[in-house]
Amino acid sequence: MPHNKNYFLAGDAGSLEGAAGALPAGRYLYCVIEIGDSLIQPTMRGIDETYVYAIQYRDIAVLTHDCKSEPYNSDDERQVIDWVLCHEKVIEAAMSSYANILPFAFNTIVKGKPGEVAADSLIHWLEMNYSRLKSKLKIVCGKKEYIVKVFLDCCIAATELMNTDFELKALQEEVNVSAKGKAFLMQGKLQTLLKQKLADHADKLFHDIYASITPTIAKYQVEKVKPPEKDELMLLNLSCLAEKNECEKLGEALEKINYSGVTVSFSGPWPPYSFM
Amino acid sequence: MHIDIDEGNLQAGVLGLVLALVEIIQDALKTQALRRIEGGGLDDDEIERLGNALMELEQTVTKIKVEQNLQSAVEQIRTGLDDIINEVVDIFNPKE
Repeated sequence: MPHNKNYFLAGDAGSLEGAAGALPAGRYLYCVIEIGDSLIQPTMRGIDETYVYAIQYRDIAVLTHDCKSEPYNSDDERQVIDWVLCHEKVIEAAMSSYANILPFAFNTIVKGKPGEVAADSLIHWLEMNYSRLKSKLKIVCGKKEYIVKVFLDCCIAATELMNTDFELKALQEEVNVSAKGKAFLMQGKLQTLLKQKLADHADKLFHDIYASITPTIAKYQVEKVKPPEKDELMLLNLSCLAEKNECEKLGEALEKINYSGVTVSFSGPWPPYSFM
Repeated sequence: MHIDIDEGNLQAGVLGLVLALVEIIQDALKTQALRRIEGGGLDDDEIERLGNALMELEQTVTKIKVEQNLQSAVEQIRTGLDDIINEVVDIFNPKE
């Protein structure tokens, strides 16, 4: 799943938290949709087979279901995965039913304010954020999110550097011909130099690949890379918002990436989670 | 900022921390030795003796880590220290 986190509307609108101690009912949010002249109510079921419906404000609406005001939480990992998949399924169904959507992350829940039911709080939030949501809907209109991840196999890259880099080859030769004590010190120097050259190589690859793919798409976000796993280093993590023809160009640019030890993962189309 | 030490096994935690610090000192000594070699401050015999001494130290530390099953504990402590250093570097050299 692209995202799995709590999303606090209070941070955006500043006023959707419930009263301390009180537990007013909540509304679970799936996505904001743009509607035409009339609202067609959704027909899908949500998390735990709940009834999903739309709450409308002017020409936008939020797909929601009635829930408790606490986030969905369980120690059973399978249960959490089921909830997240259900969340995603509703959003995907909305993508095919409505022209334009803005997805919420899993577990985005609106609590009613004191003296106000959750649905009214939600309408109030839509009213307060109407302009912002409309401009975001305009940005994502006709586009889908694609995720590009580029990885480097450090073992392959290091072997290639050891075979091609003059400085590293000379140092390896010095290690080979030195007595035991000096060879130990030189080996340390070789490892340090190799790490440095590998980092420079990865940096250059990042810049080359970034420069080759970003001109194909108008809107993208560079995301944080994950820490290295074993010998695999993530060079680039890009969320792209692309139309169909942009997606094809992006795919063509990705196919041209051909560096030793580099692999590319390209996934999508996703709802535009990164551009909400 | 803190370093995680397994509280359920204080002895192993402390030993892991000591070994991590010895490894860091060892790295510093290696760097210093290479600087002196490159600066021409050591003759061949001195280089050999220094190299052998540092190699024996490394072998001893590795042996203790294996015997006490502390490889991953030491690695975790060193990663934690690296993270702290990275945080400090980021504070003083913000990227944006």
